[in-house]
Amino acid sequence: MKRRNGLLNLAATAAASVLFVLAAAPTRADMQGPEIKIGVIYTVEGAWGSYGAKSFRGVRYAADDLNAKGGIEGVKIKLVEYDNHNSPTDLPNIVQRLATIDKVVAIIGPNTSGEAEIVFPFCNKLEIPVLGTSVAKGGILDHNRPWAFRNVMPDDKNTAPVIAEIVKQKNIKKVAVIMDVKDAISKYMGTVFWPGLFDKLGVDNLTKNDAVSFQSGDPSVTAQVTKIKAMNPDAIALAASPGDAAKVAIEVRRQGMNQQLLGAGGLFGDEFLKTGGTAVEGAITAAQFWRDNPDPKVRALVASFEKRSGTPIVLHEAYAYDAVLTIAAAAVKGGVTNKPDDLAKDRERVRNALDGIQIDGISGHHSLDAKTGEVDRPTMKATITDGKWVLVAVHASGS
Amino acid sequence: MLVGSTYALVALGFTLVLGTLDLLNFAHGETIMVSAYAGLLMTMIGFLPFPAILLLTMLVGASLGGIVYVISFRWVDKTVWTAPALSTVGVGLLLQTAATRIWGTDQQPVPDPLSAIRMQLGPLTISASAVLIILTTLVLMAGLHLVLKRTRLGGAIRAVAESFTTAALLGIPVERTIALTIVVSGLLAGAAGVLTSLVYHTVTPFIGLNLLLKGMTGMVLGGLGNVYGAMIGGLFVGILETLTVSYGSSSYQDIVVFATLILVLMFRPAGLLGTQIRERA
Repeated sequence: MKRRNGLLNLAATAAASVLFVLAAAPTRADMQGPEIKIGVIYTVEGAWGSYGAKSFRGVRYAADDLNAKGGIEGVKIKLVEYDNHNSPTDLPNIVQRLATIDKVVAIIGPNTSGEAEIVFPFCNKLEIPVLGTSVAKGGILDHNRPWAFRNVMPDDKNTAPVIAEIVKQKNIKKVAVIMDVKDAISKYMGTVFWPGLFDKLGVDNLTKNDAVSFQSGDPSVTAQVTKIKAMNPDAIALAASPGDAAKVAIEVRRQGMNQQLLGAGGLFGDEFLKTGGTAVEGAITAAQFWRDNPDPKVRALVASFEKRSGTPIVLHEAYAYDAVLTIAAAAVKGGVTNKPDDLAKDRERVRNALDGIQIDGISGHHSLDAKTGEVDRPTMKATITDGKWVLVAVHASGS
Repeated sequence: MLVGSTYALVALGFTLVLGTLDLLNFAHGETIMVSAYAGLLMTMIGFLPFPAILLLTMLVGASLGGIVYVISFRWVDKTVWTAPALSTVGVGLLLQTAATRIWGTDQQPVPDPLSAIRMQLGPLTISASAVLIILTTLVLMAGLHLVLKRTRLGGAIRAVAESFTTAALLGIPVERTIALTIVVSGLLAGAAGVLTSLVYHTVTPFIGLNLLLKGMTGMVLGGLGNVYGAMIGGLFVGILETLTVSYGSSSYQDIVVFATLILVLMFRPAGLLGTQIRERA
């Protein structure tokens, strides 16, 4: 009898404990409407303006697609967009405005690494998550955690393995680097990335630590290319925006030079191809966006996107598209309430949810590293063949 | 030489208006830019030979010059000396914005009509189009010289440049001469548009301001309002830039050019060939 009572007591206590735990556990508050705001900063002006235009299109299509399905848990996404007109001095005001007046839960952008060097620290200071989609300079997240992330692979991670393979394949012994000194990312590529990489690969960098340079907007690069011609390299590494890199390529071919042209991931896109024409035939760059990914989910998203845009989708619009999906997924995962009084907490929820998030988007499967905020994606080698980009190899994620 | 000849054309068109009207046409750079696009469109048609493209683009430039004259000089009170200049800034911005909306911000490639023909001069490779650009510029400069020295229009321009009042008293139609001067300036802008797009290999809506600054520098170096000074000044700026890049770095080219400008103006304030802007009677 005593034993049966003891068992009954135990069962009752266990049941009561379970009920207590269930009652005490916080219930997930529904997201409140009518809209959840996401800030967007790009520019359609300047050397990288074409990427900004594509990026704006990408975020808009993503918001439209999500809103067509009811938004995020029934709450519509509202994009609050700013074009900083290629003016870095406008960026602090824009970020401030997005954070305090527009009250966005997260920010997507900006266009370039130079601009990110302004935007990311500001976002870190204001404690608002920011997701860069075309910010490719190495090391840029290091001092801007935990609030800064990016879904584009930095050039050093994306480009280095591809170039190493090309150097071996084509037996490249001597290389010359030409860079745009006016553009931050190009200058970084010309003074740090390319020299460091060629040094590591044992390639003789004929321009050593003093790359042949021009300034974006210069009318002619004839003198610079003539200088390189005299050095007689096996290959020419381009550190410039796509339009300017194409101009260099045109001048190289105009002077009858046949050197292999090498570029980082930033050149992979339609501007380098269209502007360069036949001059860029055979050029090789790193790539990270695979438009022809056979994954059925990716194919469906790409088809829907291209039906609206009327042109093949490129990296910048794909990553911008996925940035909206990523913020939306983080909002759900993090339990964002979208209550006005919860804005600071919601931003923190998004930030925490972005750490380690896995996304299946229009650019394929990718994830954001929980510690570094960097994206993990496969890398590819892209060659211009018969006037088209052809992806000729795939390196798996993390390799 | 190649770059300098295009700067010289820019400087020429700019200084014609400055010398005659004593006023600045800041829309000159954007007139060149729009002309460059016009030239590109004509090139894409396919069947027009280069001389026809050049002539038609010069007409486009002349038309734009006429529009700038009406909007910024005819309808604006010139007694308030800043008003026309600021108006031309506005027109320039309008042209740039329109170009951006129509053609986008991407660099548009400019086909080279003589891409296959090259000459080797020692280590230098000279393309046939480079020779064409330099020759065309020299012909235009010579043509301008003849117009100014040997034609009635040229005489009228020089008279108006000296004094509006005296020119009017001599029966010269001052306002018409001013309009024609700006149209001639537009003709040169049209030519500059086609030639610079061949030098640049590409065209974007943002080339106008850069060209205007270089042209102004050449103009000031050569001598304010001095047409021959503008020719020499523009050539000098181009050669100086190229030498800086060849023997130094492009990072220094602006420093070298503007330091030279400051030095020249310190020792010759009127520029290399002296200024020809007079006090208006």
